[in-house]
Amino acid sequence: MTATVAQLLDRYRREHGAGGAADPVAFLARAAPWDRPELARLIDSFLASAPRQRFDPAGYRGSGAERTVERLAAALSAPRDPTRPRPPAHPGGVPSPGECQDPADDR
Amino acid sequence: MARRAADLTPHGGARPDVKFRRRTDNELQTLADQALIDYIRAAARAEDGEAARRGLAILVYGLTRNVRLRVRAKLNDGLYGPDTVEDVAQEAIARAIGAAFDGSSEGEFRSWLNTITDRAAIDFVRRERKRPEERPIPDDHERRPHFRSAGDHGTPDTSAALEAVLAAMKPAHRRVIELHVLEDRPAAEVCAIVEGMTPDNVAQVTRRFRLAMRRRLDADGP
Repeated sequence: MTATVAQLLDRYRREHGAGGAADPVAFLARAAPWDRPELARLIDSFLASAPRQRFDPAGYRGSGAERTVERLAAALSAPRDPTRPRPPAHPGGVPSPGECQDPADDR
Repeated sequence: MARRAADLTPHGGARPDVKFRRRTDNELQTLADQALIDYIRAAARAEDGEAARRGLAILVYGLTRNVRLRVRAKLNDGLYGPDTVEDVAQEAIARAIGAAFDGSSEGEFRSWLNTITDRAAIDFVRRERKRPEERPIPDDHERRPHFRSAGDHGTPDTSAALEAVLAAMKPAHRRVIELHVLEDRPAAEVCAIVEGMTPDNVAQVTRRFRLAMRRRLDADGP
């Protein structure tokens, strides 16, 4: 007998919270075929708003994340093209907290 | 008045006139995504590359696990390995953060990242579909269990219910169910096959299908 969507989602959240593999594909395989899209949607929603993982220097070294950081850091430090208008400090035109004060003070 | 060493860049130039204070790793961990992005931008404006890089590391590493899992669920049909999933996930993260830096992102950062991740998965699947001859042959043990037809898994009752529910659907919606539910293809791939479908449409169609199946099976009774 297959587990219900609610049961599988609950188990998924617990495994994710405990730092386990939380492989969505393995959980989808445990659901009835017609329940899989619903479970996939719920797992996706959960992951979309789940908190960031805590930084782990050992896991970071040599990872894809480190390569992405190198790429973004290079772009951040690249000299600006003076012919391009400077983008707004904040997409909405509101001054970014980081520009005038510490972002953490804003919370 | 002589400048203090802290007011000078590593190259001896004057630091830009921007207030910036470095935060500890623990403090950075607790910042919300947007506040962390603001911190990184402030560090970059103050030409504190080390602080910007540290903030980036905490942001990117912190986001990677969840984005990777989302991409895995969207791509997986046994054809793509962990390196591919990682590449798509990192590309999405880089694009979302890059857009947040240059001001081209829309709305709240996490929503923007989720949108970019969805698009990256769909774009990847579309690109792959254009070159099927290059797709790797999947290992049987890697494939998730499929539900190719009612006869594979269903009892006679389930098969009859499935046929009845499918027969009542519009052709495009039926195609979505065939691909997404019966063949277990990811929503991103379904969108690439069925014209005009978005991931939201696929979710809606499959939700209606699921309800219809439940109703039909309940009505038939034990």
